[in-house]
Amino acid sequence: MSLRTEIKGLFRSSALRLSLALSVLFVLILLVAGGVAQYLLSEALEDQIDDDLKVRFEALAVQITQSLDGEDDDDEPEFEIDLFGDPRRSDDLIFFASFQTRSGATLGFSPRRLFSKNGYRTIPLKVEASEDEVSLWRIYTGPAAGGRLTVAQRWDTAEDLLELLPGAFIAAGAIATVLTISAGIGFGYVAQRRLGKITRVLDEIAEGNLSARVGALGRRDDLSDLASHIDATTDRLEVLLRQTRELSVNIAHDLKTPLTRLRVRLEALALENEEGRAGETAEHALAELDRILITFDAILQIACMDAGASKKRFEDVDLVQLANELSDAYSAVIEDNGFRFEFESTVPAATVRADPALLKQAIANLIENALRYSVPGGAIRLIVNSNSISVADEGPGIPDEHKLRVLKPFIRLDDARSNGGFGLGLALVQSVAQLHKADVVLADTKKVASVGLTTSLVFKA
Amino acid sequence: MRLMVLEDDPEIGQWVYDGLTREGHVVDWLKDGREALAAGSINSYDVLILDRMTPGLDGLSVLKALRAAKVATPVLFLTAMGDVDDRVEGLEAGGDDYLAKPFAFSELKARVGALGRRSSFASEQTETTKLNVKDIELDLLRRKCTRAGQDVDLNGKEFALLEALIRSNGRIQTRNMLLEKVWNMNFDPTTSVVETHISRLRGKIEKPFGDTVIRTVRGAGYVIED
Repeated sequence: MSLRTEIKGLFRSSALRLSLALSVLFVLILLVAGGVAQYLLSEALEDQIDDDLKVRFEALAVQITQSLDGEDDDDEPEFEIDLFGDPRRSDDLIFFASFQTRSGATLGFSPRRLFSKNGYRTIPLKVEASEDEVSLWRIYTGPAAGGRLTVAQRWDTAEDLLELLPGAFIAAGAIATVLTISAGIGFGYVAQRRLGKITRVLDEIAEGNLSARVGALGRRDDLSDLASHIDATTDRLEVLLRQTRELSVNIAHDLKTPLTRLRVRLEALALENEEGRAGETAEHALAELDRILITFDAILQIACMDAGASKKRFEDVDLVQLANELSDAYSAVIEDNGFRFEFESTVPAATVRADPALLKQAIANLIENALRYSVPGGAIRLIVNSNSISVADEGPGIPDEHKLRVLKPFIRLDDARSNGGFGLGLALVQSVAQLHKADVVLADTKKVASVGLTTSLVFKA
Repeated sequence: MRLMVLEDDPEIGQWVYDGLTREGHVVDWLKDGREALAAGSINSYDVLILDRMTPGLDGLSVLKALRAAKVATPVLFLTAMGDVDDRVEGLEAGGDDYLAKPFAFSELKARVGALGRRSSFASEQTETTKLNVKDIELDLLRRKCTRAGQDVDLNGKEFALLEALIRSNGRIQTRNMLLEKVWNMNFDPTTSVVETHISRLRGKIEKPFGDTVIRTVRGAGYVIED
């Protein structure tokens, strides 16, 4: 197996396909889960910050109220600046507060929009004058000690935390996908190895080698169960086939001995009564018997081929040369029967793997069929193409609906093709074709008028 | 000729024995494979006729044992195992000819005759380049045929057919023998392949000279006699 076909096979492996599908599914689940987690986490963070702000707000409100007690309402209140904090002075400050007195004066860092409305808000603030950097702050504004108080907490820190989450999910997803696919390729490769063994054995069995077995496949799983089932089936097939073969050999022997005795007696009878009527009758009986024997042999031959005859006599056969040999034997016969004989070859040579004797017999059968069923005067043509050999006649042909039927043993059409013959000629051709993994193709010789029959043996390229 | 027949069926064996004896041969008829092996090793026969499915030792094993012991006597298998595979197996084991049962006695007679001739001429393996019968001459190198000094134009198969008939030297060649030898066909065509070619050959070798060279033996085959 070349690397290319191995890779091709790997992509057809169900294990790899399954792992690819699982990876896609996993990534999708991860995306949804990540989105949901992101949303929930950001909600939770916001709630937590809001709670913090509220606590701070109330604590500060109390402090401010206490500071304002005992002071005149019109005086400017004095606080330690530390109470509010100033983000402009310290970069890492995450809290600050700002107070607006009843008279409108503000204490602490108080950029414009800070007191625009009450409640929770998230707003961008420029905390460092020198730079354009803007940071997000979560703020709460509410009434306190006669004025309004705003507390703020830096939102960026929470944002940083939230930004970690997709990264974590993407990394986890990527690693999981890579791992799943690698595992898939690994399992696929192993499964393919084991499936390959099964496929090769099945191919061998199809070729007729019934002694092929898958054997142990290692781990005990569904594949090894399948393998042992295949082996068990093949065991059974082998026994059946051997029985069939023995049966046909036994039939052949058990029938042929009495048939031989019968022939011997008839021949003796004919010899003893050479001039009399009895002798004549014996001669007729002998001729009948010989016809029976020909049919008998054909049945045995077909049975043997259909039971998966061996291919040990297969060799490279040149169809052109085979056709030439058949022309040598049959052109004179065809011409003396009143037909024209033509031999056409579109190629100088066409080599196929075949049993030369069987192939010759099959084509001879086709020629004899053409002779039997054609109307004298027409042409009988032997045609060789690169992977096929055909016999074309100009007889009555076979209607399309019967074309498949005539390939079966003992089928003869009642009308034009009914004189003589044993109904086994085409069946034998079909059996020979099957042995060669070739197709028998029946077509009209002339498409327009539907004249004649062209029978082709088409080999796989 | 001196022949040995290995055949366990009494009726068929008797028929073969009677028929071959009637033809003037001396026949030893054995029914057991081991006896046949012993007889074949000790006696010198012209042709051995072996059945394949015989008690004691099967015919194929008899042949293999004989060939291993350097006995080169021509062997004809006469057996019900008529499959192509069986046939190839028999010939590859060193058999010289193969005749499937049921058989016509004329076919057996002709094939035994052809094998016997081969064994008696086996010593003189001279490579002949010319064959002569009556006033017909075949030049095997130039593939040319002349009769009474006149060229006779034969095609390849007609030449091969005439050569087979002349080489058999007065013995009958059956249709099947000619099909095997000339056309390499081991099956029986339902059409008259042999008859047609014999008739064409006659048209060239007999008709212009107004006589008969190839004699048809009814129910048996063809022969050219000197």
